[in-house]
Amino acid sequence: MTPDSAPRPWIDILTGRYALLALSALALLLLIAFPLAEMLRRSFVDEGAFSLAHYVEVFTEPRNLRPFLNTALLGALTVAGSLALGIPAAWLVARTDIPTRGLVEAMFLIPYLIPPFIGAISWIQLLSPRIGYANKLWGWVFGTGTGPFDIYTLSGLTFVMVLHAYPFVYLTVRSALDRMDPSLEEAAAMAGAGRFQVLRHITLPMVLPGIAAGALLVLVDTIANFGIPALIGMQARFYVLTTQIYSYVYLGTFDGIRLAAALSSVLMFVAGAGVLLNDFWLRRRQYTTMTGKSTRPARVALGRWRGPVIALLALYGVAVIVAPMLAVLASAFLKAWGLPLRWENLTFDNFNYILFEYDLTRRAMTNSLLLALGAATIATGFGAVLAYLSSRTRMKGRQIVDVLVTLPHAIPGMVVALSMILAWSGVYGINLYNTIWIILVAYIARYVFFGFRNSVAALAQVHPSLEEAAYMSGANWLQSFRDVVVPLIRPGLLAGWFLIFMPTLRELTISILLWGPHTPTIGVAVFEMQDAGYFTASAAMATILLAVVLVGDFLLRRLTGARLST
Amino acid sequence: MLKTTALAGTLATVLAAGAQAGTLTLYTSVPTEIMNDIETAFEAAHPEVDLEVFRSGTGNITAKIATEQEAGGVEADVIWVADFAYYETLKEDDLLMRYVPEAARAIPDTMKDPEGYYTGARMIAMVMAYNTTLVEEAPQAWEDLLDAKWEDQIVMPNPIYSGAALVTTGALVMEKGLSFYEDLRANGATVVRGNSGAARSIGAGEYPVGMTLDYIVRGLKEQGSTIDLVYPEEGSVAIPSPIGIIAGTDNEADAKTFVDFAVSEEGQTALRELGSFIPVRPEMESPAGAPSLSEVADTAMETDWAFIRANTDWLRDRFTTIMLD
Repeated sequence: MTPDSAPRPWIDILTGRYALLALSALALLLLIAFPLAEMLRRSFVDEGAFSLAHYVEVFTEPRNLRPFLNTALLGALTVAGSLALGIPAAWLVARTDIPTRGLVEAMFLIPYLIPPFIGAISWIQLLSPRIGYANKLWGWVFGTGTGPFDIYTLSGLTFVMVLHAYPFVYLTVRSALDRMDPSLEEAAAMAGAGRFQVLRHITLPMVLPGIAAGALLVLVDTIANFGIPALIGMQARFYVLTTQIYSYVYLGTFDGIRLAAALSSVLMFVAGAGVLLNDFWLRRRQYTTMTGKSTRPARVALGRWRGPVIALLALYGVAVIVAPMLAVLASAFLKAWGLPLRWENLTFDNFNYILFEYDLTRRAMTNSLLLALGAATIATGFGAVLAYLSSRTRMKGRQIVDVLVTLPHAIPGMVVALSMILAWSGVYGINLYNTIWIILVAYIARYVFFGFRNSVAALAQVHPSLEEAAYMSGANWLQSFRDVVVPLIRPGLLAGWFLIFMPTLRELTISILLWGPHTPTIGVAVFEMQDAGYFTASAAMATILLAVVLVGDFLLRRLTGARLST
Repeated sequence: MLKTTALAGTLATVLAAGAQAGTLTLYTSVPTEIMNDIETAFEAAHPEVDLEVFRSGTGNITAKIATEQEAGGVEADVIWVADFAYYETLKEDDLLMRYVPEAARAIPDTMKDPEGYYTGARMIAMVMAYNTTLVEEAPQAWEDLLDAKWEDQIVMPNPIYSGAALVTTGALVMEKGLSFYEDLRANGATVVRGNSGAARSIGAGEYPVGMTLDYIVRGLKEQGSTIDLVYPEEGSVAIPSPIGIIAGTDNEADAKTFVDFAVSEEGQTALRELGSFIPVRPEMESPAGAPSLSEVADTAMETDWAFIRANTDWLRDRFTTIMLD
């Protein structure tokens, strides 16, 4: 390289790099800030002028107020149930000498992997009034003809919500228990405290932040949940914010959309506040007392309780994990819902129907696959660029990037979807409504967080001097990024890609508001079939989806060596 | 690995811009399995037409069309839903194209638009259904559903979703007043989304009795389900579910072909065999065990289409307040 043709690295770096990054920041604003701001704005507009009319209507009309109260009620009940189930479960795995601990933990965490609306479907199969499998079994065992279970009640709804959400509590509490220095408990024991005293005065207070964090996660997840309250709660006349938003949007009227926007804005604040609270306050207060010594937590010997506990766990596994899956499987092979489980009533027809005949499911499978591939790729790439922007540059306002990226991930999916409808339905010139693009855009907005977070973590392990070395060898920014940075963060990129691919494949809360005649997704197809009463078809589709999800998650964990965490 | 996934992803995004040109788009509330069979029959008779069906409840379709109108253009080419009154609204909004198929001459005047913008293509009736294993003495009149012996055992469709349920609400409210629904609610009636769901529930034994559409029950019965129907004493709610072509469709020829097929003898036979519908052509036989077209029409409850059309929102709102809140 002669001095004359030597590149001028600093100017090239400045213009090349910053141009791209500025563009990305702009794209982010357009993708996330604009739709949410637009949704907020529309909720304050009535007849073209600023007005609180929609909010007044939301908070005074019983039909709108009741979902608020119901959501709060459901949240409280689900948190209570999740704590009751999650804390003992975590303690059992982290602090006792229960055998096959890994298996027990896997069992406790399976509901975490199952999409909530699939869980709802499986419990509906079991607990439908009069003819759910549990009812039939009860009737057969006790000779009463049928059983007492009716899933279409508040208790039924809470039951399914708790079973879906308690893993959050389990994970945070187990993590807190693991990180605790057991010598504190040992000291108390040596000072003469009994087992329960230790638990009450030492263990519990130290684990409290973990419990609070878990409870908060459950609360936020509950108020954002759509599938379970829609499939179970609506028939029980128990409406929550998400199902009310859904009803308003499906009315198709402009008033409906504006009311939905108002409800959605409130939902956004409540849910967002919850997540921010968790991220910025609770996380800081989690007591980590790792002292660098080999801290092997003291394991409580179960002794004579071992047998009963194992029996209880086995019962739990069968009743809560195995039974619902078998129920879905059974219904998937039945000729018609409600028929007794006899060989002559079984058939492959349902699978044949959804895989080869039914337009909705066939379109849905293609759409979901394409959307998942597209969203994962674009969001990973976009997230990587944004991560670079956030951690490698000193661009002003890069904290805003952090906030904007986290926001659509933190707030309920329905809110994201509604904001997309309002922003991209032609009012500002761009009309993506009813096309697959609006779903893609929503997915990217929603999941770029994973790509971003993984890239930030990966970038943290790449020292800037490696890039500087590349510049000094004559590379411009793009070449350095492509040849030095990307290969080094490749594992992070791949992990991020799968973290986006799996959820988008089975997603429901966003596409349920955005789908059109040509653009159903798998989640929408399953929901529609279930809601319409085609229980055998939805069970067949649910079985396929469940298999894909479980296998996919297993492979993902194998591939990335990641442990499940919140 | 990274490059492959990136390539796959980009390719996928590009491919996802699905092609819809040249297809005939039908929005219909005819139940899925039946529509699937009819689509097969139609495409066998007319292989040059590529039919794409969007199937949902009348309420959803109405909302979709309203939104599409606002957004710049209705995507559907042909519309076939259950609410007869809705087509007057469409006509008034200049959304329908005038077309009188040859075969439509045979259809009675009460079942089509005198100006030729839409024509009935199948006769459906809201009736009572019951599970034959669980129920010995089936209800014979709508009033019977208010009997305490059916407490918490009734299932019915939602008029916000189902056009037929909307028409039924209108007819029953006119005939018996809102108190009928208040009493139904007091008797613990459950509201599900659509007629197919309600019928399957009854057939499965989840609910012993309920309201649903006659042809769905006939179809299930034919498949061996333990369900049967009763045309109520006060009269069923008869709806000549019309078919119409959307004005400004870019597929006029195919649209006409489909409408022709639907009301032709061939099409009506297919409807009867595949869907257990009562044909709208009076000279044709009804499905086995079903009353004739004139019988249904004569014994049906009075339906004031103008009333229903003018009060759609009010009916939905009242139903929501009484039955759903």
